[in-house]
Amino acid sequence: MSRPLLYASQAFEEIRHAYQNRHSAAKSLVNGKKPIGCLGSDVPEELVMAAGFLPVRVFGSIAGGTAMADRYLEKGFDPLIRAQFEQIVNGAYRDLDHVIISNSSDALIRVFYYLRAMRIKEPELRVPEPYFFDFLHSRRRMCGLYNRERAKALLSKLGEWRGKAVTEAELREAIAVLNETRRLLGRMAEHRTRPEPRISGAHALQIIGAAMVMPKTEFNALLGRLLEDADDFPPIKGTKLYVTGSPMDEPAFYEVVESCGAVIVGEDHETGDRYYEGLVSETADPMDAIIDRYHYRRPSSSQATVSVRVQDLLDNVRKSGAQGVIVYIRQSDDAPSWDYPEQRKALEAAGIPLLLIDRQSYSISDPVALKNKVEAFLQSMNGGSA
Amino acid sequence: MSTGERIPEKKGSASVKRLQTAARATAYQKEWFLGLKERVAQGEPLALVNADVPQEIFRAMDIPYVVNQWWSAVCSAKQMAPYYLDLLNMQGYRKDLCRYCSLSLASAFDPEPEKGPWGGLPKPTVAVSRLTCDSQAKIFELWSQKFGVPFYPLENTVPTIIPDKWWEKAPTRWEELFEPHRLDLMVEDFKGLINFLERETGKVFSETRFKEVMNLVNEQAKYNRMTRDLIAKTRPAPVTITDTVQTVMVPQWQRGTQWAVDIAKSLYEEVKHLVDEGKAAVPHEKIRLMWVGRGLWFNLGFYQHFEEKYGAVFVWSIYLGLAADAYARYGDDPLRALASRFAGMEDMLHMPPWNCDWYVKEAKENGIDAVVHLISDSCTQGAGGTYFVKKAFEDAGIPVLQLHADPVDARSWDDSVMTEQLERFLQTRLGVKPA
Repeated sequence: MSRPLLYASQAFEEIRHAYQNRHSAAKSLVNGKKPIGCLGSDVPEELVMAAGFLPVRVFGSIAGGTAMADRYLEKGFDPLIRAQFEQIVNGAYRDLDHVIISNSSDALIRVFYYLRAMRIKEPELRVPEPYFFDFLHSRRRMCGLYNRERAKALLSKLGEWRGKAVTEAELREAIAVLNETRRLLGRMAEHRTRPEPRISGAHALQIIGAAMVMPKTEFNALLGRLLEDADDFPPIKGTKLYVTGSPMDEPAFYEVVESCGAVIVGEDHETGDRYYEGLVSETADPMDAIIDRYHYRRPSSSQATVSVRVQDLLDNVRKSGAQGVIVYIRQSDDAPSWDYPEQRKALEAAGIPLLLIDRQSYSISDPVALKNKVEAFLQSMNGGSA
Repeated sequence: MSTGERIPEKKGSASVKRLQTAARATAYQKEWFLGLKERVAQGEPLALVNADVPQEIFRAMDIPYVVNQWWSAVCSAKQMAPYYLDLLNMQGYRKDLCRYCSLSLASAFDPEPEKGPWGGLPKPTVAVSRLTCDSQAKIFELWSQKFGVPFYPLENTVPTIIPDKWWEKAPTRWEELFEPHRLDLMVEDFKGLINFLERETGKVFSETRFKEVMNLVNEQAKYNRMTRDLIAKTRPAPVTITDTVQTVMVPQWQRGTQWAVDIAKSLYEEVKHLVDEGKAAVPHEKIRLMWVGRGLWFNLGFYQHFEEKYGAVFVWSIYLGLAADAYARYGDDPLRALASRFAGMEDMLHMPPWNCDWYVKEAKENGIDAVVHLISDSCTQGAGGTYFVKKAFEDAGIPVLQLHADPVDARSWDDSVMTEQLERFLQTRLGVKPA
């Protein structure tokens, strides 16, 4: 009997289809649920789901251009955020009633200010109503308590939007469903980091991305089916790499890297492993448990200090079994740039090779040059052969 | 990459000081800094703090401190920014990272720190910043590790409301302006900072002294308001921003002292004397300009060219404007009042429509004909909604020129290009001809 390829998996095809059409999730009712845009990695999806809405992560679009965003955002904005902003004001998310924005980076705070100012100063543009979820990241009790109160305010607002307060039972049910999503994605990750990986980084990125826009129960069923066959997927040969730096909301970079004879076995950005790691306690007070999960999970590049990021990278590279690291940083994404020199020192001291791919635009401007750079890196790692 | 010269080619010029108070203030800062170094050499603690950290707490505890942005401005004015920033870049840090807040860190990489401005920064005891952008925690942690000292990060929160005319409410109605949940957190954070400072420096926090400090800050703000109002209503203007920026900011970093109050009072009295005598900074004043954004610290003489050549007078900057409207806080709970001062700073400066509504109000009261807006592309936080700022002015009938430049990094500054842009704006948009 021939071994099924990932592409032959009907479940994967459906997940991939959802990912490829990720922008359309915001356009209409999905399974009777009204979509709400989520921008920033700290929007607690549990709250949105508990209120009966579909949380839909805001994605940028290479095809969408950034003409409107360029009018409002200054040059110092990360191109990913520029692309997301464009989709909110002039693209896939324009007709949403609400976009919840979390305090996940300084640029997102500005996005909130600007959307709010647009609604006041230019109401004829009819941009979605932005709601700001002010989430603090320092690992201090004071911040946890503040976050808890802000989450209560968000939950109350969600209840107002649907016309009925959210119950504890609804919260607990949402926690259980989302925990199942996280467990399944964790199992998927094991197929990336096993001695002979069965799922590539580019595919993993699409699977994780699909989880951000699909109804979670539907996604869970599909991913569960996919994982049943995963042991039979053919092993992926290649040098194992880990990716750190800027988040990526589309897989082109991973595809180029993996076309060079590498396999990306993990990443620390918010559109990869960081999305699903860490469960919410199902026995504790639901709001406490939700806030603890988002507050104390893996640090993000934009909110953690350099030393925390360095240690986290070392730990994750070792855990993933990666042989090398690619530091991918987009233009104007300052936070990972501040991390990089110390990360380089630490990785070099640990004998782990690294490649810096810096000042990237939203789309890959020169795939050939990128491919050459990655191939040269792999050759240097492998003593001359990629 | 090789480092440039310690003092590279000069890209800007210092302003010519016309006021005695300005000369007193700038002379004092060197004297104060040398005194601070002496205190530190004798074993006193030293704090490195960001501009939006509540310095009143340090003042009340008698902990000497140096403000990050002040030191940046000094290094820049001494034309040392290119040398220091090259050192930072040699460590692997990208050249286009935020430079206003990292120039002081860059100076810490100098192998000969004693050759810095006025003998360089002494080794600090603690570092304190506020998490107002993604780079702050990184920069301050790197800095604190460079010196092997502890770092305290203060939180930053985001307002959910947009009140009307914040400048009327800030002094006394700040509780409704800055939202109780934000103030609660900030007070808690300030208590944590006080505990941290008590532990790390051995200094004590006197409530009596703190109340005195808060009163002195309000007194200073009162004189700044009087000075701003006087300049606003006087035509031609008695002084320009080349007279006021340093004269306001040097005592701003010394606020909570009698000296700072005296300088603010002296500035008001000197301006009042000029008004009474009918003396103008630029007698052939034709138009009044507003400088929005940070000061051009390596080139404070930039503005004077346009005064002399066109009678185009920069009468307004954020420094006196904020000193007049943003600092005064009255109330029975001084720590909460202090929290409201710093909760608001970010909202007022960087959040549309808070900032643009205030700018337009100030433009109208100061009889502004046009605005020059300095935009630093490397700072997301400082951007502050440039589209909305421009729109607000233009909706009010006030033309705007946006200049893109870094306030401290002279390496990318081209004086002739910037001068040409501004001259073209004056001539074509405003119809001003050389005098």
